[in-house]
Amino acid sequence: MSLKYLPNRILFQNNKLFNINLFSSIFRQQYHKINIRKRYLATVSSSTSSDLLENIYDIVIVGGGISGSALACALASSSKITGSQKRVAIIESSDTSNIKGWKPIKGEFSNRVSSLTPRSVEFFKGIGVWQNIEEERIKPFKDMQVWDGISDARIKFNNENTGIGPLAWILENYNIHHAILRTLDQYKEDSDVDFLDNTKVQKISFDKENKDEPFDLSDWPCVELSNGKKLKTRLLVGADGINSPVRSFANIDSLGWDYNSHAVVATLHVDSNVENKTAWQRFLPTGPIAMLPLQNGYSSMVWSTTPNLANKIRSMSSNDFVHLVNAAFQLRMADLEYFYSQLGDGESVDFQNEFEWRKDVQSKNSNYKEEFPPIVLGVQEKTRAGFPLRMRNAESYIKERIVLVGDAAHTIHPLAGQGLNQGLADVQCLLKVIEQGIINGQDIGDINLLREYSSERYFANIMMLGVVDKLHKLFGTSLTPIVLARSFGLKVLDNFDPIKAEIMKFAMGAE
Amino acid sequence: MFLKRTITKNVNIMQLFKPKYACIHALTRNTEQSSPEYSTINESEVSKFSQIANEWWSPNGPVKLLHTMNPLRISYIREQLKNKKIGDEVSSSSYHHHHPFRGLRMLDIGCGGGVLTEALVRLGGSVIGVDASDENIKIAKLHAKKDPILHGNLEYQCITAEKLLKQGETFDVVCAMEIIEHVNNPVEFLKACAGLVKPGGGYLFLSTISRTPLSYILTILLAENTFKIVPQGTHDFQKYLRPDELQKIIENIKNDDKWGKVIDITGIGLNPITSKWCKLPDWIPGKFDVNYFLTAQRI
Repeated sequence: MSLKYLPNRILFQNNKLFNINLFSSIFRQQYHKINIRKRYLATVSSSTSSDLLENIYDIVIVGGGISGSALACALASSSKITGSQKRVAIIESSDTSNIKGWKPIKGEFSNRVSSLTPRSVEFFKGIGVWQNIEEERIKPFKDMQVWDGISDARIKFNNENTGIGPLAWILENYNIHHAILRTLDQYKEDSDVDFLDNTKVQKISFDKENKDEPFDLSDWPCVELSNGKKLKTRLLVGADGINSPVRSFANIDSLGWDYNSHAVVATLHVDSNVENKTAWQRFLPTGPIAMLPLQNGYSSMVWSTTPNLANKIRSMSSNDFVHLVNAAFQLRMADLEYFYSQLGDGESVDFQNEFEWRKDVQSKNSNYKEEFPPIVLGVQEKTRAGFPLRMRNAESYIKERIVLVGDAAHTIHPLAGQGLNQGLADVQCLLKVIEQGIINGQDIGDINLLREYSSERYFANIMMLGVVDKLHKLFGTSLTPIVLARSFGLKVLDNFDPIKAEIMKFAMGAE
Repeated sequence: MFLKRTITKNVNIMQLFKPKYACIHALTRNTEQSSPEYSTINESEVSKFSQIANEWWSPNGPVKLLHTMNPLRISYIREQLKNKKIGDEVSSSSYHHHHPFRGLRMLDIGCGGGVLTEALVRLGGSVIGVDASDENIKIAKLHAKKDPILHGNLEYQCITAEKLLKQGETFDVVCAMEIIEHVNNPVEFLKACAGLVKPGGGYLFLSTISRTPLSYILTILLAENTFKIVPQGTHDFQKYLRPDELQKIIENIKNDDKWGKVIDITGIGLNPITSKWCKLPDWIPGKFDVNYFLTAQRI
């Protein structure tokens, strides 16, 4: 705690205003802030206010996921925030030691991966996180193919010869989170950020009984923790996910709907003779299936489909699963439907045989040769998992002294890989707004300041949510006229580079 | 409403644009005319702002525009004081970069609920906020308790600039923002403000509205009467001062010697789309025609 919170008048009853200031400025220069905190607390430990001073923060972040901890890291990296001695706490309910101690194991990949846009990567470089990412587990890709499951109409994005750099980078979430926590640790000496993991939020409230004399902190959010502490904060940040307790406390509704689909993720072993450099996505009528490159020989799969199919896909034998995935990427819809019909039956056919002969027939009859993802050879044990898909947007991102970021503010269908990138863009914007507020001497919990965050992010997020939701709807139908129209659209887009470039920019997070 | 009044009085519309105070032009001749008991406080203005005292800090209240203007006011003051030596303090070391007003004794005249005052304290200043309205001072004091960081470097008083001057107080920086258009006699008021600035380099910051057809349209017809962004009757058009008039008043103030000079005038405007205030660039014609900031330095 820095000296700024000391109730000088308690210490010096009869001073004049400016003596105090002189005194405290000499003090500030001579002692390190921590020493002062201890010193002060020692002198007044009998007083009730010591507890209060200990637990007053400028920013409390609830939720230590990627967005929340990225915000803490961004705040710790900012000289404007550390220079003006802002106190930050971040509260995470789970134990993060497994993330802190994460080490990549050769040939094993976590099933939860994210694609980072160039904008997110730039942000991570700016706050010092990128340097701590495990380099051999970064997969940039410059090539992406998206096609229609029914008509096979295809759009190809290729950044190989444009000089713009990769379209996106695929990383395991563990890799990102590990790097953020490590960076936060490196800032420990120069910043005042308390990372409280293994700590649950019991209750958030306003402490209306004013026991804080000489202050009145009755409109500061008060966060009660499982360790018995009560933190009062100038600004409360909700980075606590889709069911955000901070959002409920702020009485902000979340609008949106659940898609009638679940995502199944898995780490795939693919043909290592093929250079693994392309992100593939095929829109099936039940939802898109995507294969993202991790390394030669390894890819990550995200398959959104009906809850019923998702359950079967998760529980079927590994061997059959592999060929079902191959079928989902490579065979016609009618063939895939046949595979679906064989799921869950005790006496099912040999999926490998079925896939091989159908693929053979298909390639003999086909007049054109399309590119397909590398053949899947296996699946990493225990990497098949599923979760329901939703779309949500909070009706507001701010209230006086409260702000929402990441999934607490918005949740998106993963088909465009934008969820985390939106959360990081929120964090980036919030950092900028807080810095601006500090420069202008504003109270950083002031709603007039927070409006700048919400006016910038609300519009951007709702645009992305809208586009992705429409894509999902557009490709979620098998109605012939719509299939024809969307296939025509894809083909036109594919041949029209200026528009394709704009789509790429949008997806890459350019402003 | 205002137009109707002028018409019934058979006043030529052009008279609107003449200053209300004839003494502005007499200034060069006589600056020692005030009686000791004279106050520049306009009672009706004081009661007008006392009535909205509770609304000073409501985010969508009648002074919303003042809140949105505040970041620009602060960045203007920062910019003007950047790396300048006032008294013994130079605001340039790295520590001061985050508290640029550290070591400065500052006065905010007409502080209202403390919108500007609190920001000055947060940036390191030792600030006294004064206002003629007791209600405002009460609200300001209550609000200041909500932020521990302000503690110890902020004081509020219900007092006039004239009385402070009589007490012999001086300040490194005196701010009188959005207040000149609300006092009785701006010449006398400005003399009091100027007298409160420390001799030998102290600063006086002013912010007000110019008296032009454009400012009439924007601040009275549109802001007050049509869109009601600010309460009707907030402004009296004839009390507005043009920058050249203001400069003349300030540069003609004489203590024993010449008081000082105006060192900067900056026009500002509200962007109606982003509802953010910004400095108007040089190429804009009539950039001083509505709101403007002015900095003067005492010799």
